[in-house]
Amino acid sequence: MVTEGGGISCPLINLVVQMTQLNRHEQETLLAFPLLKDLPGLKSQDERDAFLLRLYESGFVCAFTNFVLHKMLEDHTFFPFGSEGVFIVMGGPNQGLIIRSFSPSPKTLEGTTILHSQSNDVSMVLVSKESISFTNYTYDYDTGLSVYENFKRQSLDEGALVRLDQGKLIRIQANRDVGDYSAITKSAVFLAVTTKTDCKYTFAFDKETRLPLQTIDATNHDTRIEYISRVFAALQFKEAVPEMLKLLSSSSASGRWRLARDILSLDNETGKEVIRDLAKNDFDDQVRSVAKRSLALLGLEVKHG
Amino acid sequence: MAKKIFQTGSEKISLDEFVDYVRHEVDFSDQESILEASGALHKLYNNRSFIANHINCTLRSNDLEKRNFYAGQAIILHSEKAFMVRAVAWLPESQNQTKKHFEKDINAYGLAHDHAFNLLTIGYHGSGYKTDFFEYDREKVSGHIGEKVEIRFLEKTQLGFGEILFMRESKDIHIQYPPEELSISLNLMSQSLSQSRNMEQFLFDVEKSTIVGYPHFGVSNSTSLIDLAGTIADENTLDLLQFLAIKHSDPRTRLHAFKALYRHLGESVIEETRKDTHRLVNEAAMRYEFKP
Repeated sequence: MVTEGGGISCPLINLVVQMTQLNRHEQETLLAFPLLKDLPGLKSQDERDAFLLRLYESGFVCAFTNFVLHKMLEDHTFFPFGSEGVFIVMGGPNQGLIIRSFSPSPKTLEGTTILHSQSNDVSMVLVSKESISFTNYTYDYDTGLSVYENFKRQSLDEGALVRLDQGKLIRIQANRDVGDYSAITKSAVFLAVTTKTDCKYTFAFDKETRLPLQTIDATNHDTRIEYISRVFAALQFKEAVPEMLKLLSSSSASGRWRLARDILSLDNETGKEVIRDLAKNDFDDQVRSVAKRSLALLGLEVKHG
Repeated sequence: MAKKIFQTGSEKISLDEFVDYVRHEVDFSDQESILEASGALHKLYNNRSFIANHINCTLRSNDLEKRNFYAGQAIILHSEKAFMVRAVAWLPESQNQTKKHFEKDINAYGLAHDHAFNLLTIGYHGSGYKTDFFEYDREKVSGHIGEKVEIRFLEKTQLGFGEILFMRESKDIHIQYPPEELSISLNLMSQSLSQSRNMEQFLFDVEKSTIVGYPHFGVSNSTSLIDLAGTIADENTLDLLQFLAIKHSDPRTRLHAFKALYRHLGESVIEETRKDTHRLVNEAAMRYEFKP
């Protein structure tokens, strides 16, 4: 078969190539459900949604659940991949195919019911039979502002009731939608596709006041970078500076600032250059502002031009 | 009781040498054998550059997230079927209001918990986290939320620089508090070995001597998938749930399988549940917890 791009496409070869890039769990899943091989190639949200509905209609969720239950029977130390209520089929929780279950038990933070924003765009199909409803709040995230400025100005709107029947698809948007699933019908099950976005943080909101409580790194990766940076600085491991400089481009706003401070403690001259660069060029105004203040404390000025 | 061990000496070894020693000399079914690894762990602690070197190499090879499903503070240095070597960074209490709760959650500060594994840990850097130790008797516990447990206070201590603590699997309960400064601990921990091994961990309220929950991983992953399966079950699912309810080694997994079956098969399941040999399961049937 000749593809549109002129290359030769063979489903088996594609499958083999794809397998080499997958972890063991994904390899086993793909062998059991070859139709999933199409997932990484889906470009648009519409394509992903159509794929999601096809999967749902094929009875995939029940088949996959049975597949995992069978693995649990074979190996009693095997735990489903993901975390409680989020079962990863392919990819990861931030980009991939997952099964989510919600039950009406609110998460609490020191007695407060908290609601979480999404770090990515999600399309979800309701799999369980009972129709459900939940409240969806929105907030007005301004991508031109820093995470701190956004944090200060955020509050949720009054919310709107969303009703869903079995087989219906809903899109939840990153940096906008906050679903309150705490009052959802018991044990609602969704099949969902999550799409990677550049959103580095999610916000936790107080349900009662609808005000933000805290920011949370959207992925373990960003949290880990901050910890690693601190560890290098604590151990005074100067050889790490080149790798820390590379991490500056992949970290969250607080991660970049953490790296800058720690690089400064390991290599004064390089650290000053990093802070100068952040003061002038960082796209987060809070990072620029903190960097400028630090330069002043260090007796340095922002270089212009 | 949970032990604090003091080692001296300046000999140092590499991570590979430590792993080789553990692989050949430590029997993870024997707590004395694990304790004997404290000498080797101290020699690894004397190696002041290996953690930073390891992380740096991991960054160079773009392997930062590979096989690491822990939150950001834990760095896996080595993992194989029987054991894991891990470094954990402990942050002092955050002054950043927008991240304070998040960082507290990550390090589980203030949360009384036990471990489903034996843990030998040494303070690698910093003044170390403070911790309160308690103990309980796993054999006397059925494991349901709200259950009263005899909890005995042992001591307040701190994982100081170069000090070693040993925490016993399903015996010691501890609460960690933030250190004064960033601290790093180096862990040797046993991993799941057999199907008969206990896999459950509990969260406790030590003042009320009560089990208050389970961590949101491990067995909880299994039980929430079983709950989900009960919602969308087909005939094959029911067969699998029946096998899990009778054969799985973990009682909470069996209990959730029985509960999922109850939704479809009704009262007959309760009779089967009563026959289970574990109190967590048969007492749930006695209490008729299956009723909606």
